[in-house]
Amino acid sequence: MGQKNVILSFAIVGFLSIIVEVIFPIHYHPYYWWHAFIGFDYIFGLLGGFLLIFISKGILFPIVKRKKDIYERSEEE
Amino acid sequence: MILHPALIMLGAGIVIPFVPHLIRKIMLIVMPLIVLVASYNLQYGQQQSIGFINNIDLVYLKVDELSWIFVFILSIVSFTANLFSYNYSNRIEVAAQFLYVASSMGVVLAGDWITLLFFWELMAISSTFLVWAKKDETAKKAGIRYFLVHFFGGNLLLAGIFIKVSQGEYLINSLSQNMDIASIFILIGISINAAIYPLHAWLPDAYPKSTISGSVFMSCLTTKVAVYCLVRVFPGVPILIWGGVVMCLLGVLYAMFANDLRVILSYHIISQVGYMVAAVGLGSELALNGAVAHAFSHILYKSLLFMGAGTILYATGFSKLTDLGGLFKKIPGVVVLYFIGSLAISGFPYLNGFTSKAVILSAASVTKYPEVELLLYLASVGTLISTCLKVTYYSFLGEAKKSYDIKKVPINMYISMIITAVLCFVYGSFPNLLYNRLPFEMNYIPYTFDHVISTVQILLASTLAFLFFVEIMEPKEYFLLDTDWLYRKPLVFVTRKTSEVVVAIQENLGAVWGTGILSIVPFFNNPFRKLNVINSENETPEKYDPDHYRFSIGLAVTIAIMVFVGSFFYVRF
Repeated sequence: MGQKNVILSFAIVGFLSIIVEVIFPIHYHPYYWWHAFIGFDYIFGLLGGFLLIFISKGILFPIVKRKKDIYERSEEE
Repeated sequence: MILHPALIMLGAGIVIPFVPHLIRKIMLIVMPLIVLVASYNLQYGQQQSIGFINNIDLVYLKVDELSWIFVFILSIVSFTANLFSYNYSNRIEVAAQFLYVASSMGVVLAGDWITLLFFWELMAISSTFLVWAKKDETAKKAGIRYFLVHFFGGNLLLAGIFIKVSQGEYLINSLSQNMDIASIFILIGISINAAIYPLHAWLPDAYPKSTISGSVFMSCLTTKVAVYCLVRVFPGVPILIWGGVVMCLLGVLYAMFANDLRVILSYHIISQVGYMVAAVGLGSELALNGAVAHAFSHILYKSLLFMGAGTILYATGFSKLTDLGGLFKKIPGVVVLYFIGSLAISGFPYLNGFTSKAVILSAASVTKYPEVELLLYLASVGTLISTCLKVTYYSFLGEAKKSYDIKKVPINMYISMIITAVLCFVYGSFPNLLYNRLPFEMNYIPYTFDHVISTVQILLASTLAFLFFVEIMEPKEYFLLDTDWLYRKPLVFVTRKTSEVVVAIQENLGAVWGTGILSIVPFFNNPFRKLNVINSENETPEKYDPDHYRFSIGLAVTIAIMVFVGSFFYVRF
C-alpha cells in the first residue's frame, strides 16, 4: 500500500467520523463553542499537527541543532 | 502494627549488597511484593511519629487519600521495574534501585518537612548511582551534573524548610496562600525536581545516559514525587498553569526532532509532567484529581515505554532512530508492547492516558481557562506524532539502517512489560478503579460518545498531518542545545574567570605581603647576633617547624566527637 493510499484511507476514516458526529450530535457539557462544533477535533488535529511540525522542524530545530557535542572540548581542558 | 513500606524498602536496600547472589535475586522479587502488600494495606488517617530535638516530632508516616494513591503506584512500579532488571543488575545497582524507591515512598509518606528533606536528598543520591552504574565516561559526567543540579535544588528546599521550621511550622501544609520567601525557596526546589522550564535540562541530559533499568526507575520516580509535593504544598498557584503549558509544548517540540529513543521519551516526561503541573496550577478539586490520576497513568505507560526502549537498546545495542529500522520483523513482541505504551500516552480510548488526560482538559475548561485547554490539547497532537508515529515509522517499519545482531530478550523483561501493558489497559477500561481512590470526590465519566469520537478524530488527523510531512519529519543525527548550556558554558566561564581573578589578587597580595615581611625580618633577628656575641657564621639557626607546637589532629577529632555526643545527649534527653 503506497503512502498516498494510506493518506487517503486516513482521510476517508476521518470523514466518516465527522459524518457519525453529524448523525449523533450529542455534546455533554459544551463549555465553549468548539466543544459542540462538528468536526472541530479533526480540523484542530490537522492544523495543529502542521503548526507543531512547522514550529518544531522549521523554527526550533535550526536554532538548537549543532554538528557535534559542543561541550566536549571545554570539558577536556 | 503498621508496616511502613518505605522503611521496609530502606532496610532491604541497605542489606541487599551484602547478601549472596541467590538471596539477592530472591529479594529482588520478594521485597517489592511485600512492599506492595504493605502499601495496599495502609489505611487513611494512619500516622506515626517519633520525638526529635526542640520538641519537634518527626512524622515519618502519614496516610491520606493523596499519599495512599502515590505509594500504591510507586510500589507497583517498583515491582515491575525490579522484575525488569532481574537478569542483569549488579549489587550496587540493586541497592540504588531499592533505596531510590524507598526514598521516594518516604517523601510521599512524610508528614513533616525534616523527614521529607531527608528522603528527598536520599532520592537524589541513590538516583545518581543509577546513572553512574552505566560505567562509561559520558554517564560519569552526566551523573555529576545530575547530582549537582539536585544538590542545588535540595539546598534551596533546605533553605526554605529551615526558615519554615524556625518559624515553628514543621508539619507539611499547603503554602499556596502564604507565598513568602521560604515558600518561594521550597517552590523552586520542588520545581527543579518536577523539571519545570527552564530548570528541566538535567532530565534529558541524565536519563538517556543511565542504565536500561535505571532509566525505567528514574522516569517514574523523581518527577512524579515532585508532582505529589506540588499537589500537597502548592495547589492553585497561578504561575504553575503557564509553567505547565510551556513544559507541555516545548517538551513535545523537542521530542519531535530528537533522534535517540530515550531522549524522545525524556522530553515526553517533561511534556506529560506539564499536564500535571498545569492542573496543579488550576487548583480546583477536579484539576487536582486530574493531576493525581495523570501521574498514576503516566507512571504506568512511561515505565512501559522506557522498558520497551531499554529492551530495544538491550537487544540491538542501538537506540537512535537513524540506526534502527525494521524492528517489527525481528522483535515483534517488544514492538507491540511499546506501541501499546505509545498509544496510551497519546490518549487512545481504552488505555489509561485517555481517562486521566481527559480529566485535566475538562478541569481547564470548567475553571474558565479555554486557552490552557486548547494548548494542552494541541500538545497531545504532538505526543502522538513524536512518540508513536515517528518511532513506529522510522524504527519499527522499513529496513535496518545499520547491521546488528539481535540478542535474545530475557523472559523477565517480557513479563514485566506485559504486566504493565495489562495495567494500562485495565485502568483505561475501568477508570473507576482509579477514580474512586483519588483525593477528592468526583463524578466523571470519560467514555461519553462525543469524547470518544473527538479523540478518534484528533488521532486520525494527527496521523494525517504526520503522513503529509513524513519526509520533513525524518530524524537526523544532531546534537541538541538546551538550557543546560547556561550552566555548562557561561557559568563555567564566569566561575573560571572569577577564580582566576581571585587567585591573581591573592597571589599579588601575597607577594607584596611576603616582600614586606622579608624586609622587616632582619630587625627581629637575635640581637646577640648583631653584637657578634655568638658566631653567626658557624651556627645555622634551627629551622622553624610549625608542627612542633601543634596538637595532633587526633586530639581535635576526639574533642569534636565528645562535644557532639555531649550536646546530642543534652538535647535529646
